Amino acid sequence: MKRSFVIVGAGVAGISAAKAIRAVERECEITIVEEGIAFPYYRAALGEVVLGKKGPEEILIEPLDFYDRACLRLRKGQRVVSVSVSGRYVYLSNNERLRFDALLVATGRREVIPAHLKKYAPHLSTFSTLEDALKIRDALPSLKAALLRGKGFNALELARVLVKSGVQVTLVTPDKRLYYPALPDDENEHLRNLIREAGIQLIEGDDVNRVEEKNKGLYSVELLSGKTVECGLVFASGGFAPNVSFLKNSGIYLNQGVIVDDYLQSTEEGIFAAGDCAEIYHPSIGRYWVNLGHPNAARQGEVAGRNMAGEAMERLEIEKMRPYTIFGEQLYARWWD
Amino acid sequence: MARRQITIQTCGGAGDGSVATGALIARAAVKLGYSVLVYDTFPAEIRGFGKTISEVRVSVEEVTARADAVDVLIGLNNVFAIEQIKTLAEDAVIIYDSLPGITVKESESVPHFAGNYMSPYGVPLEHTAQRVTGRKLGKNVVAVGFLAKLLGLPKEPFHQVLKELFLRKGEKVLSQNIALFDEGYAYEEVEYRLIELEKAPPPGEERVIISGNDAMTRAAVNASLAVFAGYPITPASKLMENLAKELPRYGGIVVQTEDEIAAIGAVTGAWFAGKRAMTATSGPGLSLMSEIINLGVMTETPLVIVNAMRGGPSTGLPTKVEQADLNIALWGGHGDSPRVVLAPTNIAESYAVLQDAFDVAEKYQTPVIVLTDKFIAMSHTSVPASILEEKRGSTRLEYTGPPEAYRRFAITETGVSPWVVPGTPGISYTTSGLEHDETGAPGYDVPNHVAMTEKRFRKFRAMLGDLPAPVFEGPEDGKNLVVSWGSSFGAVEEGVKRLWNDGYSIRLCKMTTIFPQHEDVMRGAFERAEKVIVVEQNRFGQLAKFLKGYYGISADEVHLPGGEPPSPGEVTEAVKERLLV
Repeated sequence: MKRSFVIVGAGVAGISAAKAIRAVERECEITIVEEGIAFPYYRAALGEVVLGKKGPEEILIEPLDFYDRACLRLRKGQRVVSVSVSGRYVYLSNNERLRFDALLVATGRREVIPAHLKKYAPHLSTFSTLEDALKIRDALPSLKAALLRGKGFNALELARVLVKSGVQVTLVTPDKRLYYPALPDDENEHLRNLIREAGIQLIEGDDVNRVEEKNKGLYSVELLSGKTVECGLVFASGGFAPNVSFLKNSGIYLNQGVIVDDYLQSTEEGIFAAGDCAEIYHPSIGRYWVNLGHPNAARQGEVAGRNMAGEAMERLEIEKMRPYTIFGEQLYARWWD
Repeated sequence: MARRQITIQTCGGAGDGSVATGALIARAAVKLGYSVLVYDTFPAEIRGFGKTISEVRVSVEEVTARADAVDVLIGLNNVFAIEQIKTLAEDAVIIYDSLPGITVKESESVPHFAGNYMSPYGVPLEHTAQRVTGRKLGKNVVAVGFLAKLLGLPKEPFHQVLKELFLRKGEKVLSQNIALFDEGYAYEEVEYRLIELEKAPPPGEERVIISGNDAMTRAAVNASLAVFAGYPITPASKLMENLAKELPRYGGIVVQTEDEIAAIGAVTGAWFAGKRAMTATSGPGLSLMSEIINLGVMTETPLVIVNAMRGGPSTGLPTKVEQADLNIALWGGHGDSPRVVLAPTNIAESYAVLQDAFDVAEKYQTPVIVLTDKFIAMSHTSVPASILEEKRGSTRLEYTGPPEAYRRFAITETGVSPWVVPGTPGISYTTSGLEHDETGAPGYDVPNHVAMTEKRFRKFRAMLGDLPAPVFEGPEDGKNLVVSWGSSFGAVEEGVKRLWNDGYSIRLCKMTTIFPQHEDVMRGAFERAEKVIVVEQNRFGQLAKFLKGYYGISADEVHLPGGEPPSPGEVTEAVKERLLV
């Protein structure tokens, strides 16, 4: 029987892993299970979609014919609900099971709404998927002002594209750090200047307290300081959480994400994780840490894929600093505080 | 980009409600202003065991042909849905039952078989139906709810259709069906719309969804039909079934006879007695009627026979389509036995063509065979309600002379002899299947036979003005002349339009009257074209061979047999290589 590889998640890590496996093993079966229904795309490019500079077909990770050419089975629109480690099966939400010899968890992470703002969730816009981006793009012509709360890539990227589109943007960050993973102080200052120069009203050390819909599509946002901002779009991020809840009862060891060793293998043999859902031990800080960003994901996916398919295991080289494109500029960020 | 048209196929087993699903989608789409074409495929057995498929093409433009491929599959039965996947468009969307009750292996799972460009959406159809109604029935309505959400269509038109369908079954049934639809609609936020339908133009005049059999039912009633006699046969049975309900309301009668021979006999008798009458059958029945149709030719008795073609020969493919009965319609009589052969090209046209058939049959005292097929007879489409209103009445050329001078077969310039109803006081009415003289008395001498034969043929020249002339589209000086007839014309027309866009020089001819031929018009068209191509859905090239023999022309024959209506893409592919550039 042909070896069967299952990859959960068709982000950058999953696709890199599939390519790496195929490069080693020509005959095996590779199935990628992806919850989204769109063809795998770069999330980092969603800002360009909002700006209307790129259409959905222009931000694909691989061209449409790649999956057929590489003999990959792409299972879009399907969700893994559990994993049987001993049975070597993943169970899908449609009551189907897929057998695997090796499994890669590459489900990425999701943006979480800060706990104190969850009750306002119906009023909050999200900016994680292609549909979010298209929705915002379509709303732009009538959007005058927006309030964004958070300090991650998504908040900054949304601020960048909205202000570029002529929207009056207020960016609220609960502390003086402007990016996560953290920037060194000088880069943080540089970013602060970039944000201000762009015409964004930056409010540091404050937070959203209440969101009220005044009229349809018009919100009044009250900050802890008592200040109120009226706007047509409210976005609030409280950071990221790896998408690993489906592994809860599997026996695979989880912290925030899937705990993996230097080879990106989890505590269970033959089950790997890569990208924003994997936690890797970092000797400098003496703890496990989620490494964000698609350059990390690509590298981890590639290493995990080779380790899944190959006989000799390869360690992941951990970089100390790497450049991230933040607010349209290349800035160096650490993965940890 | 939003599409101008999409095709939705529903596939299930017996009792899954595939056909009802197609009808629900189509009716809602028409309320939204779209044009629809519904094509159902089902097993030949009377009680279905196998796969039933309903295909709805929804378009912002008028549609008369099946699409090249299916864009959305609703699988009400996963085993059948897996079989259908290979027939779908490469980027099709699949809605399937995601909670079959047990965990299945990959080899039994719908998405496993879906291509990489396809998007399968698992929806717990049966589970939801069970939860809402306590029964498995209604999973198709859940699927339609999800489909409406997927396509970004509003709920209201669907609610309206459910009301029209279920209110008469009681408030409870209606509210359950609305709840089933709403559950499907709310099942999941659609993250990214892969398939979007262009908004329909605002609905203009009232449109109704009808099949060819339905349209011909209205046409017959409105053409003063008094007697229908028939024997059930797919795909014509529905016409009799409809008339059995409708006709008595207008004072007419419907007789189900013991076979087709008796049916055509009863129709002959009714016309003989001066009443408008018709029968409807399919290939095997038409074979049985041949002898009495010939009697109609000889006795100059009007007859109207609707022959809904299916795959043959013999019992053949009862639930499939073919245009292979042209030969028997034209030539299925011994002796020199001319008869009118008409063939509407779509459902809407079948209304007017059947009414023409009555008028011509009566005015010119001749059998008229109207060839439809399973595609026209049993598919459904949206048509303006107003086209089903026209009424027709008697076209009989009454005898007005002195009773003693009446000659049933008087030789006239047009070939038509004035007519009276047998039994009219003072008039001696004589007729016979034997060759006869003008009085109707048997007469075997050669000059009489020649004169009478000539008279019977002469009528066919006179009637041309009362029959639909060939219709041409495209440049008059087109290098290529593409001729087509019957239901495949829709696909041919759409295919030729694509070829025009590719720059080919084509003139298109729709032939609704097959016999008699509008000879002057056709001869001129053949002379102007450098190449003639005849496209039809049979293996023999029946129209092509008829035209070649009749006009002495050479023509390329494109045969598209196969049991399913051709698609525009198939036509384009088959025609393209033969075109002069």
